[in-house]
Amino acid sequence: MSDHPVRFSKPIDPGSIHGERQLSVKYFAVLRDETGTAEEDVRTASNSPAALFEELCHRYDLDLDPEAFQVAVNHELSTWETSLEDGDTVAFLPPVAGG
Amino acid sequence: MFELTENTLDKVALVDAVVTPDAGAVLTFEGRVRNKNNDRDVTALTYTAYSELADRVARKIQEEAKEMFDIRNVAMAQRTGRLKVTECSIRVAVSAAHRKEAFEAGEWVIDEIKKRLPVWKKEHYTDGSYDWINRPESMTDPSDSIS
Repeated sequence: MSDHPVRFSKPIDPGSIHGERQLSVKYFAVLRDETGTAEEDVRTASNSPAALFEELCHRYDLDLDPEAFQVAVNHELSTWETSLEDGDTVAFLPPVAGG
Repeated sequence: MFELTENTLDKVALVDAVVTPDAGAVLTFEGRVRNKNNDRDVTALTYTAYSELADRVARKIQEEAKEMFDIRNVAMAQRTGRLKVTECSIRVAVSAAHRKEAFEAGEWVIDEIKKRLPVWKKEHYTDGSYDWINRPESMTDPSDSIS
């Protein structure tokens, strides 16, 4: 075994050992203003966008209704209940206003 | 064709992208920054986008437009960054054999862009404050903090 078995042993999902996963979270528009960041790495036990959104709202002291937002996982629109895997990129999208 | 760019939108390139020998009609639409919104005096808009997702959503809108309307091609370009009043923020070009289909598809495409493209705009006002268009009610009004 190496000193970092979790990091280097590909077949072993770190989440399955610690119940945690490493995610990249992207914020846009008003959410970027509120969190003060465009993107951050988050180590979390949250296993769905819904759980992650709740966790991050708590962390940033935001009282937000997820129904006003959309979520994308790995640059595809997703449901709030989809299962998050280690290494996923999650983006929370405020109501859009293109054009 | 879909382009997301901080540069001035090129009308000629957009039209060239949709022209085909059997298209007798080419419709172009452009959206520009207006000096008033909801009775407030606007000086500029700042557009931001989620580029990876915008590419996918734009392609989907184009595919759907081709399925729904008897058209040949659709091209669109969205500008990002800070745009002053009168600057062009969005261009759409649609080609079709005849004008009716081009008009109908063009209106549908710009409506879908506004509903679906992951782009956001921050509106800057003459008093120095700003606000996000479509900001959820529950989120802080940034103009409250600036007096």
